Amino acid sequence: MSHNAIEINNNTPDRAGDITATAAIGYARFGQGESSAYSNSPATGMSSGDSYYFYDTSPTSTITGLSFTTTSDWCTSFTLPAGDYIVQWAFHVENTASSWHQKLQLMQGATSYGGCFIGATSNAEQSNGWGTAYLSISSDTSYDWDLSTGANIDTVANQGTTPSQYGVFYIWKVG
Amino acid sequence: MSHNIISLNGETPSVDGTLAFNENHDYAAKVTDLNHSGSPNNAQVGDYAQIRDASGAGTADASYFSFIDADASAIKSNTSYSMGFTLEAVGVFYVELVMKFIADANDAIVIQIVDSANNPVGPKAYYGNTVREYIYPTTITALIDNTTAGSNYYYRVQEVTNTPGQPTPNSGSSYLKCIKL
Repeated sequence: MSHNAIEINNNTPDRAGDITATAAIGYARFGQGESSAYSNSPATGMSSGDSYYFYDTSPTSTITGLSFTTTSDWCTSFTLPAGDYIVQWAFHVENTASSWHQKLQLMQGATSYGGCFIGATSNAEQSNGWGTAYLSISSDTSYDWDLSTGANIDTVANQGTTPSQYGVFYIWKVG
Repeated sequence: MSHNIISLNGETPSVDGTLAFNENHDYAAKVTDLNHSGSPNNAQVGDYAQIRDASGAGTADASYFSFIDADASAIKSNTSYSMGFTLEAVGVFYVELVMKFIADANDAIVIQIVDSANNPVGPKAYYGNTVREYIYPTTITALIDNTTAGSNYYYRVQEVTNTPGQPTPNSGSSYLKCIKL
């Protein structure tokens, strides 16, 4: 800003004094369809309680104070500062049978903040595969991802690049 | 603006000087009133999947695939089907797409939003391997940093298993929205 006396989100008034400004909503994305074998991640298993990892070589964030912790571009956790957020996530895994399913939960320590379900079971359990969580945080808090209930899921070695190509989570700062 | 010395997104201060902030968040584009998706039949890898504007059935009208503002527009394959979208403005967009396909037994299909050179700009989305006749909608997303105005993006079939194909006639199963952040 130079001669203008006021600006909002880098928007300054025109000669009539009118300002047009768009709200600067904070957002972040981790996962953009890139390919890396899941065996490159820190994953040790595909059973309930095992950690799950998303992949992104260039994650995007405009949320001040948000940090991703990664190992070889696999997200092992993320930390959010105080505020209100919506997190949404989706994933996909290789299976070993036509009837299979898997649930993935957003975790803060041992507490689940919601899960999403994917799979193909007999004539039931349809889902759009997305999870959504609303988080209201009073101080820096870290989250990660754990596999939960599952059946007929292939091994880490046999996952290939599927988790990296399908997995994504978005974070929206809403307050 | 008239007597006020300042306004923000069209809002002027009240008598006590309070200035309301109408966020005016740029809901840049939204295809409205879509009712089904899925063309082409017997999809093959490399095809562009399609969504269809319900109001466009059987007629030719340029108003189909209406968008709220000029930041995006539909790429049409004919008068009532769209196989992608154009981001007319430079900026970051969150794009969300829901489609629907008919499939038998173990049919499956993978859709991904790609740029004009078929480079993926978001994660893959998977439909299928169910024993249901209809594969229910899932959600395809991308966060696109559109650095060149007028860039085109498409809904590309990336993988198929068996023969997923025809659009379903059920209402309310498809939509596209592009939100300029």
